[in-house]
Order: sequence, then structure tokens, then C-alpha cells
Amino acid sequence: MTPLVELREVRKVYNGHQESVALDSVSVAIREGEAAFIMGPSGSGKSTLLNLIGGLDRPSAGSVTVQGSDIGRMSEASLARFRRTRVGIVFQFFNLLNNLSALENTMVPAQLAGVKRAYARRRALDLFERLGIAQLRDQYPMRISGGQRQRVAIARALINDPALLLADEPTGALDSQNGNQVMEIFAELNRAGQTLVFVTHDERLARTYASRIVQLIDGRITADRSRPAFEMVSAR
Amino acid sequence: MSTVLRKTLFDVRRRKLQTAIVAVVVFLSSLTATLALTLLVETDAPFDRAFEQTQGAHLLVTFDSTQVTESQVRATESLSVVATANGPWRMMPASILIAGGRERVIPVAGRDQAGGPVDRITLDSGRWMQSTGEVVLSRQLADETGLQAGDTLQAASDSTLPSLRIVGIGVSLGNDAAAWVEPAQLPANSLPDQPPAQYLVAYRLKHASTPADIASAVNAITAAVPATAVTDTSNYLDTKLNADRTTAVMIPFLLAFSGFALLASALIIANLVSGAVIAGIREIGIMKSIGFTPGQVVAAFAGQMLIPAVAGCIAGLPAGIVLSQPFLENTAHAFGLPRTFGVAPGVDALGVGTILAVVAAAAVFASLRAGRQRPAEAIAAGSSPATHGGSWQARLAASLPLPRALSLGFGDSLAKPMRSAMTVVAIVIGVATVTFAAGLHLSLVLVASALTHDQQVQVEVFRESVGKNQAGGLSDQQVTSLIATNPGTARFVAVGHADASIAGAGETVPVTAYRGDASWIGYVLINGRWFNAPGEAVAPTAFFIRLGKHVGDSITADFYGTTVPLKLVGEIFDQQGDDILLRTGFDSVPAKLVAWNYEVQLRAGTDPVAYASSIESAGSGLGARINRENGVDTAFALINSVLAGLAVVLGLIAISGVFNTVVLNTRERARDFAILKAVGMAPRQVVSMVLASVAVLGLLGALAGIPAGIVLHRNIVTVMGQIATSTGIPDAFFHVFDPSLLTLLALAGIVIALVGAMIPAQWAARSRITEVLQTE
Repeated sequence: MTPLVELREVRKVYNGHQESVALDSVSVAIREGEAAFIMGPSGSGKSTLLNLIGGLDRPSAGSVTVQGSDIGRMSEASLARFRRTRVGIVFQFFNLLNNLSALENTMVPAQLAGVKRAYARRRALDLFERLGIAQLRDQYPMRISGGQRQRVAIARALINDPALLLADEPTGALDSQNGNQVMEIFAELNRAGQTLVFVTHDERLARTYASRIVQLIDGRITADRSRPAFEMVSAR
Repeated sequence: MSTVLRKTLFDVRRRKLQTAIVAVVVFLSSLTATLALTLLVETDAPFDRAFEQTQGAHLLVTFDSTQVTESQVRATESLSVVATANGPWRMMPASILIAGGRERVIPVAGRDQAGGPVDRITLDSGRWMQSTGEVVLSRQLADETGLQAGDTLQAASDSTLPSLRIVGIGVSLGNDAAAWVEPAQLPANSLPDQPPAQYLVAYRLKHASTPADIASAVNAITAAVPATAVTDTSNYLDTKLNADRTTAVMIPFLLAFSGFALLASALIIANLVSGAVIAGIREIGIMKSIGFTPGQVVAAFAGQMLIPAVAGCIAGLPAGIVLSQPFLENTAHAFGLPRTFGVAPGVDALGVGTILAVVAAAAVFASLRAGRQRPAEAIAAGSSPATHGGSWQARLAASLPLPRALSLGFGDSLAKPMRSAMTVVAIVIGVATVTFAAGLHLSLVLVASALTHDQQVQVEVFRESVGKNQAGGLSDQQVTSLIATNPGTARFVAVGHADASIAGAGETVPVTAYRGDASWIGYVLINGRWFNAPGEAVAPTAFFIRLGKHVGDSITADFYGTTVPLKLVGEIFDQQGDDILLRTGFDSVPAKLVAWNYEVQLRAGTDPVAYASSIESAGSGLGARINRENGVDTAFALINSVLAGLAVVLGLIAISGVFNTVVLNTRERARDFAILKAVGMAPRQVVSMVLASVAVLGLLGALAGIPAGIVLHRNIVTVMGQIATSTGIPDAFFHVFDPSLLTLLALAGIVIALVGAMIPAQWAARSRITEVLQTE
């Protein structure tokens, strides 16, 4: 079966005052339905890896393929279409637009994709119902709690029914209760078949929710284990 | 080096884009301010300045060379009333060939130098003669004939002069010579059928401030030579009156443009600097938290603005001086004066100083305001997103059936009310300027057409021609027949002249009488109607004002002892002398009138030059003038070029104001752009969103700027008319803004906004998502 995401010999270098290698010779494939957690310490390249898969950045070398499309070869416009329709991204700090209501924030990707306003609104309201935030639809982000904001961000990520849901430390800015509630939402989505790629440094979360854990250190993959294997490692 | 200075220099280097924008905007503003101030200086008593600089003549006297010797003329220069003099110069008529092979007789003076103690000639182009065979043309003749330095002045077959090479174009205040040659170039004697040579002397008088002073000097000079030797005099007071009238027409709109330019420059700089400082509010908090005092914070931020501002001024001042040169050239040309200066150092320095003061004041004000916050508050204010909720325009825009990128842009347009307001003001100024310039241009076209009647009268035929022998000239009947039978004639009217005494006029009133229907010749009515029966007349505004009459009133005119009543049936737009004149029919004038000239409308497709040639060649003493040869077109073209140039400069200033606003907005909203791009906004959609946000400002600017421009246009045109010739302005001259023009002007506001926003919009579209979101 063709993997949903495939990275081959990916290298990412940042050119600042000093050249910095964020990823080096990374190869990994993620199949549909997986809940892949990328783990590692700060500066290990986790977020860079997620950015490459989400089409937020391009590799310096190697290839990143999602659903058969090579991200490195896409034009900026194609990349925008890709981000709009094939992936949904949830950030640690929510990244909602503060001048739009929760519902309008959620509708934006659909409307950018040319979906009619009425249909986008109906779809957003459905998601709000599913995520238990229907009462927040007219609220502005700065007036709701962190957990509520993250649910709005999840709704926004799902609005175009993406094949792949990416999340970068989605509970990092939440207290544990809100964090658990948000993770339960992701788990339910995964159980319904949604492919997830998560970045976290929280081992507890990974052990609880991951079907697969990819360990990164200094830009290289040091371990890549599926659930039975990492459960055995944890048990030792 | 102090910590503050080191910090300031470091930030100037670090914030390259901000430094560059401040430098560029200040450069444009100082360029515009220099241009505007230079033009303001030019409009301050231009005749007096030109008169002093060229040592203009208080009095020019022409002597008949058959009545007086050169030494007798020279002796008048020692009279007690005379301070100093230049000349005498011999003047002779010469026939030249102009376009279409037609002849024209011009007065040519023999003069060996352009300078001298009085009446110095200013060279517009080329050089003074160095030998015979060369000629310098007056600017007026050059304008009328299109001849330039390097061309050849073609002599007609009966000319006293050979063909000559034009080596320069010169300007003299009040001097009637149309061309200057080496004295040796003029023949000793005139041809038998031409008038005799004359001597021309330019005098500076000891007392010349009043007409009485001038009259006293004329009397003294006339008494010093044989009785009939003085054939003509002209004085600087009359020349000044005419020149002041011309300059007064232009001064209101030059003042308006200059004021606009200065206001726009100040607004844009204040907007730029305060915006840049406010954008750095987080840094202000950090500086205070590590021990910078409020004064040091203010000094560091003001320094960051002043360093590029000084650089912008240093570049903008010379650029403004260079750019103002063609404007000054054209302005002086349109004034009919020699150009007197190119640089006004004191005023320019004042302009630059003012700009730097505006920069410093805006920077200090904004950083003081930011500096008053406690460090933690300032850091939090600079780090947190700018808005905490939706705005009414964002909600309104979201409900519009538009692509989301556009509705997001429309919703953002007023997110920063003060900055948006200042940007709208800059656009208002740009649009008002364009509206005013377009309206004034169209009004001037109508005025020029109304003054020259070029749409109605293409050729004017004269039965006499200066310098030609009148013996054997054609009679009125012969000329009438000649014109009537010419296949190119559509219609024509004969014109005669008489003088009338009218109570209250204060002077003899010239009366122009027309034989036959003259309602078509193109005098635009301000009130009433054209005369169409014996005993009716029309007159310009000045006549009505002088006599305290209104349309419908009657007056009594005394024609050489015979009085007749005349009913004033119309007020016309006219510009002849002081406009104390009447126009009526032949049959309204009791005296026997002779027609000396004829106004001719040509059939469509008839070549005016060929027509004029055919008339002139039909008999001796006949002259024909084509309407566009009278020089009015040149003055209007020059006014238009100044108008267009200033409109472009102000348009650029408005564009730079929008550019600055959009740069500030996009920098502040970098996070929002990154988020939108992360969720799938394409680069083209980002550009659309940014452009939509300023299109609203452009539309608002247009909606306010167009009426402002129209009001300004109406007032300035009215003032120009009142100052120029105390004339009312026909309503038709104001009604130049048709719906298509108004639509274009509204688009101009949007275009200014879009052009100004295009580059920062593309920068926003190219920004990298991860860099922005990871720097939070």
C-alpha cells in the first residue's frame, strides 16, 4: 500500500549567520490511519519535520511526498492549494485570527478554497457541534479559554476534510485538563480513520495516543517504533 | 560613543527596510517641498524681480531716423531726467517667410551686445551673435513661428535682410524688437516702399514711480529733438500692468499646488515616523526594562528617524532644485518674463529644516507616548495581537458575496483608524490635485478657445499690413468679394472700429462693429444674449462693472458728436486691453465705418495656411493671420505643462503615503498573513487582500478628493478670471466634469492606492510562514 506521507533522504538547512542543519537524511513513511507522534528534545527538528510535511516549508534536499505529490516541486500557488485541501494544521499557540469570530476563523480555509459561504458555515457549525463548542461560534478568540481556542483551531483544520491532520504541540499551551480533552478529540478522530501526525515532547501523551512514535535527535531519526514495539520498550 | 548613539546606529543598520522607507519618503517629500517653495518664490513679484535683474527700461522711445540724427538721439541720454540709457539701436522692418511660404513683416534691431546698463537681454537658449549672418529671435517670435536656435530665418524676396542663421532665443522686457542682428547687418537705407529706419533707446529714469514721472521724461526727451522725431514710446508701468495680469492668472493655482505639496509631505512624514515608532513599542519596553531612561528612549528613536531623514533631505534638496528648473523655465515663459533665478538657498534650507522638525516632532511625540507606559505593559502591548475583537467593517465585509481574500481585505481597511485617516488624507490630496489639474486643463482649453475663437474663426484677413506700402491696396468691396468667392470660405464677417464717449467710462470706449451676423464668431456669453438688432450691443464684465450697469440697461454713446442709445443685451467673455469696450453691429454706429479686417470661418477640410497664402497673394496690402499664430496657445500649453508636472509629483507623494501605510500594516500583521497562508491562502490571494484593504481607502479618498478638487477648481478659475481681467466666468467653463471624467477620477484614487500598495503586498505574499510563526 502506498504511504500517505513519504520522506526520502530529507535534509533541511537554515542559512543564517551560521548555517544550521535542522534535518539530515530523514526518511520515513506514514500510512493512512496512523497516529504518528514525532518526539524529541528541543531543537531536534520535530517542528521542521512537521512544517515540511504540511507544506509550510520546503526541503533543502531529498523529497517530501504527500498523497503522491512532491511538495518540493510545487509552485507557491500549488502549495497553498495543498495546505488548504490536503492537510489541516493545529498549532501550539492556536494561531487564530483575533479580528474574526470563532466561526469565521473556522470557515476561512473553506472560503479560500472557493466553497460557498452558506455551505462553509453549515460545515463549520457541524464541526462545532461535534467538538462541543457550538456556543462559541460568535465569540472572538481573545475572549475564550485556551482549550476552547484549540478546539476552534481543530475545527478550522478539519473544515476541508483533509487527508492528513498535523499538530505541533497542540496541548503545550493548555492546562492538563484541557490538554486531555483536546487529546481525546484527536483520538476520536483517529479512531474514525483520520491520519494524524503529532509533534510533542510529552512522552505520556505519545504512549497514550500514538500508534507509532518517531524519535528525532539532532535532526536524525534515532528510533521509529509502532505501538507493540514502543509499549514493550516502555515496559522494560 | 554614548550608549544611546551606539544603540541608534545599530538599529539604523538593523532595520534596513524601515531606514530605507524613511529615507525614500523624506527624499520625495523634501524634493516636493523644494519644488513647491521654489515655485512660491518665483510667484513673488516676478516682474519686479525680472525688471531689476535685467535692468529693465523705464522708458523705451522710438525716433524717426529721417527726422533726427543718431548724435541728437544720443544727446537725450544726458538729459537731467535720465539716470542711464542704452542704445540707440537702429530698427528696420524686414520681411520673413513663415510656415506655408507666407510673408510676415517683423521689426529687427541692430544691437552689438545683449547686456549693457539698461534693457539687458536674457538668452533662453543658444548664444548672442558673433558675426553678421546670425540673428537672435525674441521668444515671442520663436513661439509664434516655431523657429529655434539652429534654424534659418528665411528672408522674403522683398526683405532688407538676407536669410540668417538663428543662434539664440532672447527675452527683453518691453522691447518691441522681434529679432536682433549685428548693427552692420542692417542696410544703410530702407527700400523705397518701406517705412524708414528708426532709432530705439532704452532709458532708466531718475524718477519713474508714477505715470506723471514717465510723462515728464517723455516731454523732456521729445523737447530735445525735432518736433515730429519721436514716433512711439512705451513704459515699464504699462508693461508691468500686462505682465502682472498674466502672472496673477497663474499665481492662485501655483499657490494651491505648492500648499498641497507641503501639506501632503508633512502628513506623510508624520504618519510614517509615528507608525514606525509605535511599531517598535515592544522594544521601548525592553529598553526601559534594562535601564534606559525615558529621555534616552526618545533620543534613540528620534535618532533612528533623523539619520535616514537627514540622508533623504541631503538627496532630496538637490533633486528638488534640479527638478524645479524646467518648472521655473516654463513658469517664467508663461509669465512672459525672462527667467531670473534657479536656486533659493534660504527658502530651500527653511523647507528642509521644517521637514526635519516634522520628523523630530513626530518621533518624539510617538516615542514619548510609548515611553510613558511601564516596561512590562509596553512589552506586552508590543507582543500581543493588535486586535481583540471584530470590527463592524469586518462583519459587514464578511457578509458580502465576495471571494474571502477580498472581503478580509475590505474588513481590514479601517483597522487602524488614525493611520487610515492620514492615508486617506494623502489620497484626498492626490485625487483633489488630479481633479483640479484635469478641470483646470479643460477649463483652460475652453478659455483659450473662447479667447482665440479658433473653433469659429480660423483666419483673420487684414486690409493693411505693417511696413507695406498701402498704395494700390484692395478696397473693402474687392476684399469682400475675394473672400466670398474663395471656395474655402464657409462664412465671414467684416469688422470696423470706432471710438465712443460714454458717461461713466472714464475714457474713450473702443467700439468693434460687425457687418452682418456675427453671433457665430465665438464670444461666450456670461449673461444675456448676442445683439441681433440695431441699437443693441454686448460688452465684457469690466465694462458693466465700470459703468455700474447690468444686462438689459441702456447707455448713451457719443460717436464723434452724434449720440445714440445702445441697449446692453449681453455680457460676454472677452479679453482685449482693459475690457472697457463694446461690440455691436455696423448699423448701430451713426458714423461712417470702414471695414479693415474680416473674420473668416473655413469650410471643413480647408488648410488655413493655404487659405491665408491664397488671400495674401491676391493683392498687395492684404495680410492674413491664422488663429493659432497669436501665441495664446503657447502660454496655455506652458500652464498645462506646469499643471501636469505638479499633478504627477503630488500623485507620487500620495502613492508614497499609501506605500508607507501598507508597509507598516503588513509588518504589524505579519502573523495574520502567516496564519492565513498556513491555512491555504495563495500568494495571489494575499496580494488581493492587501490591495482590497487600500482600495477602500482609495475610494474614500476619491469620494472626498473629487468634490474638494471641483470646489478648488471653481474657486481658482473664478479668482483667475477676476484677477486677470475682472471678467466673470461663463458657466460653461466650470462644467467640465462629465460622468466619464468623474468615473476616471474616482478610479484615480483607487489607482493611487493600488500602485502604492502593490510592492508591500507582494512582499507580504512572499513572506515565509515558518519564520513568522516561529518568532512568536
